[in-house]
Amino acid sequence: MRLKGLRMLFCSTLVGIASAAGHAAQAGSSDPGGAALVPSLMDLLLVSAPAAALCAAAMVVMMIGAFWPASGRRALPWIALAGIVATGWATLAAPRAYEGPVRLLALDSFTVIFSLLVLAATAIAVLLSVNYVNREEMARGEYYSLMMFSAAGALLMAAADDLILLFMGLELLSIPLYVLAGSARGREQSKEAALKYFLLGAFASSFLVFGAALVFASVGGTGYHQMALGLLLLGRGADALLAAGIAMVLIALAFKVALVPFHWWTPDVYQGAPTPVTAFMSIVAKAAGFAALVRIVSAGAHGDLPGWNALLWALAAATMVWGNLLALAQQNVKRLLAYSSIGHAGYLLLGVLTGTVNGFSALVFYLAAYGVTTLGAFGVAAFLAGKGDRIETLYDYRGAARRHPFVGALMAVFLFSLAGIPPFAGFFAKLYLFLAALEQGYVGLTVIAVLTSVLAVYYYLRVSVVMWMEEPREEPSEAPQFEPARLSAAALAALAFAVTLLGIFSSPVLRWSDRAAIAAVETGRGAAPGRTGIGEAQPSIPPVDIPEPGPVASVPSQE
Amino acid sequence: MAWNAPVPFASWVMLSGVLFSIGAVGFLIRKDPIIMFMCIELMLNAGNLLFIAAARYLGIMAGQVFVFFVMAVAAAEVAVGLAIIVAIFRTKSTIDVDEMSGMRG
Repeated sequence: MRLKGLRMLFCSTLVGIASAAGHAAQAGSSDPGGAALVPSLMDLLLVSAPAAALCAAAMVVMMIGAFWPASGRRALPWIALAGIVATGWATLAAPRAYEGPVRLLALDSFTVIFSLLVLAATAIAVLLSVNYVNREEMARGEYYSLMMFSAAGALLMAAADDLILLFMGLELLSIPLYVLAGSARGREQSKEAALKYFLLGAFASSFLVFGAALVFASVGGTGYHQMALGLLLLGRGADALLAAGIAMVLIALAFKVALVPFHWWTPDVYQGAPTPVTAFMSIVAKAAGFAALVRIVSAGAHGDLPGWNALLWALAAATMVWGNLLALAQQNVKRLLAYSSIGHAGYLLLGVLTGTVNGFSALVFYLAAYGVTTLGAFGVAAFLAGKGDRIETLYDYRGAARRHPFVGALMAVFLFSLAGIPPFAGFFAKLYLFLAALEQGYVGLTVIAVLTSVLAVYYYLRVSVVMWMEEPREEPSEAPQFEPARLSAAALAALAFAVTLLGIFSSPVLRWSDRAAIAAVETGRGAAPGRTGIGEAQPSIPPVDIPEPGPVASVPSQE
Repeated sequence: MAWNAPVPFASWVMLSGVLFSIGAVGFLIRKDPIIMFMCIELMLNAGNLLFIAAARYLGIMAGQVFVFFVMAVAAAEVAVGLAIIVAIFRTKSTIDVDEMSGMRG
């Protein structure tokens, strides 16, 4: 009885946090004019409400995990899910009220849509974790709460409009991930993955700090808009400090999203980390890194630095080619998916490189499609792995689909989507992205992208062929049990449905991604006041047709 | 130059650049995770030094506030990093990164 009371108490705390965030959102709307130059405390509370709500919910989950008896911990994932849903509500409620200027955090449709993407991915990762965590006996409160903290970091990164805030978001994203990567404490590989991820991640974030310091030293601020303005005043890329600073910021983000040649950590970390954690980081860390890149590019904070486009071109080409080539040689399925995720980062960079609304929109759609697909593929890997993650090479996968036809079919859907085969989401995502790149005249790069995605079909299909065509292994001793993994199976089925649905009826999601892209470009422009006023500087973002809000634009003439 | 003349800004930039480079090179050539981590700290502090010098030189105190953020985050990183290193030492009784070769491909 006491337990029940406690549970009620915690759930009502969660609801209370969420509704406080919502009320803050509504209260902030009363004073739109007051937030002219210096953001008030209310504004700051308002714009950080979603991330704060998620962190608060994560703390609640951690406390429950620490103090509840083991029998009560079954409720943990559901409490975590409630917190994520409440955060989603706060995310939707907050920007409706906020009309202040962009400072530190931008609260526009881009932020909202990216936050919803991250929250959905986190919710699915939590669902996929439940059976795995119970099987591997990692059922402690901190697992779910670390996932939520990490997601809060991703929310901050997507909204950040300032390098220091970007750094804080990046660390809030990464530090819980280092712990999560090592959370399968029984396995040597997991700890090894944690150490490698930690060392290289910390190395990358020190680049971000030094880059931010260089930027600060040359323009006197770390906001993206200050960077853009500083570039205008200093002349195009004339300042070596600033150029070096921006290059270092790019290196740090390239580490996080695993672009070649900053990708070495990816295969080991993806292989060693517990599989649901791999699923989580493969989408959430990537989405956050690309969101930050989009913000920087759309604010023009990279300026028109000479060589910026050539640099991104080379990074994209190297990432696509190298990631997909090395994936061909892999025998371990998680490692194969890790290299394939490197290849996908190369495709996503195409969207950043274009710098147009169409490119950004295609990037958001690609992230959504890639997210559901990669969560599904790693989810199947977690499902089949057996206790202690022993079944993970192609050799072990022989005939797995014959024993579990349902899971085999789901895996086939995910692999086809990753490979970009038509009815599924992956195909349309690639199509839109390549079209956006062609529009900007990146013909060579698009040819490389198409060729590498043809190459990728081989290794994706190989997994499916091994699962369906080959004879099953002799000893079915480590056969995964369907009974306890029912939740995973349900989540995987829902993901496969989403992959198909996103492919066939993509228009609502495309509309959202268009809105996100338009908002990113508008915020970026607003963040660089006067950049179009100075004749010398070429805006890096070509003009686009942003639909005019009809009645607002027309000034009523007083006769 | 008088003995108490202010140090020119370019020197601060150069000093922090050199510290950062020492850290980066050290990270890449050393094999001991603890030394590697010290190199990371050196890189972070090179950034902090530049922030402080620039804040003083430009008269914008925000730079000094950023240093507090960076220091707080670095402390959190130390806590996690040392815990990971200890966890590995318990099972492997070595922390040499060359021994971390359980995964190949």
